[in-house]
Amino acid sequence: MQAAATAALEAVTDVVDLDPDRELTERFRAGDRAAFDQLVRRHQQGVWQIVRRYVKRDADAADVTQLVFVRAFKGLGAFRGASSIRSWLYRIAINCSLSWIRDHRREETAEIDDDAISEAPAAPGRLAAGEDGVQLRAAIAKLPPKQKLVLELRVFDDLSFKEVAELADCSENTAKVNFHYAVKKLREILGGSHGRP
Amino acid sequence: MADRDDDDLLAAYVDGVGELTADERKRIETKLPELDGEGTRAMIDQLRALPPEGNEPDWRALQARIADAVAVRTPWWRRWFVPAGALVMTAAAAMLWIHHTPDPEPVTPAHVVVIAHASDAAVPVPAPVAEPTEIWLDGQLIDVSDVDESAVLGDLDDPETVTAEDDGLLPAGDLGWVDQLDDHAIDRAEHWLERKKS
Repeated sequence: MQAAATAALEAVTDVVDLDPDRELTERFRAGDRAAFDQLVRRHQQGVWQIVRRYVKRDADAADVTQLVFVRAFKGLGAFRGASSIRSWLYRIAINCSLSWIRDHRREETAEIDDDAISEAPAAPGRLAAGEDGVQLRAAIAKLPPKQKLVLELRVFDDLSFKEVAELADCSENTAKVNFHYAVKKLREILGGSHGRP
Repeated sequence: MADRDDDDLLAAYVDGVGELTADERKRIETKLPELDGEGTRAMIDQLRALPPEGNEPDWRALQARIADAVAVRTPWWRRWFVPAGALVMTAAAAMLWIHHTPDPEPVTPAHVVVIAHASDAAVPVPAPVAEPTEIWLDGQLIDVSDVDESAVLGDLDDPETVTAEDDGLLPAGDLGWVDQLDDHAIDRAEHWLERKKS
């Protein structure tokens, strides 16, 4: 019995040891700066995608992504490993993005208005090219913030409900229910014009 | 999950499980796996087929920016710390060396005649080096530098202390009679001294 338990524990330990993020974190803590560069390469795309969903200009999204990793660099030494490195980074990404939006709210609104005016003639053509995508995105934008967050983290970032729950500050089951409501609402929104279930 | 009761319970579950009884919570949690139904999966597939928003950045450039941003930079005051410290230490060493170098021995002129003027009164005059003071007395060379000045001059300062009884001499303070002696008297006195010597 004890041997089985020990074997199970060793298996779990092996899994933890095999986590490249953990290993890179340990190397970074030991003074290996190259380990941080590897962490950046592993997660830069995921972080950028999260940031880009909040920040609507590519250049700004790159700036915020850089800020995310700078903060991660400063905080990685104190990271206690309660969550995965990925969800920790995504949490920083969400916080940085929200902070950026708060600081640039006025500019963002003005730019959106300008874009709406300047790009108005091209809009029908774009809709024709990717009408489904445009409608889907519009439907997502109408979701309540928590449902939107849970849906995007689950679908676009491919996180487990446990990780989604960590990032959304709720229980795993609540995350599942929010996700359910988000999908249901999308289907309702798209039902009439979309013609799909 | 089309059951209205279940929807109400789900809404309550999202708001907070504290609003549900233990039985209701258990009922919802057993139904949670069913939430991922056929329609849900189709919607998720549609969502995942969406192209990512925006144009991805140049990842290498972004990596370089991040590496540059987290690079350990020496603050300006630390860059100047070593040269400034070295300069201060050098200056301190120089000051110490200057202050601790012994002064050269003062050169005292051996035979300098100092003429005191009223205007020079405030100028300190170096003490003359003691030299033997010798006088020729009674055919002998006598060094009087060791003689206590006060002992010799004390009597002169106080003429009353010298009395006529001292070797029969007149008081030193009353020597006016010497001027009144005539040549004959002086010759007699010298003759007397000669006789006393012999």
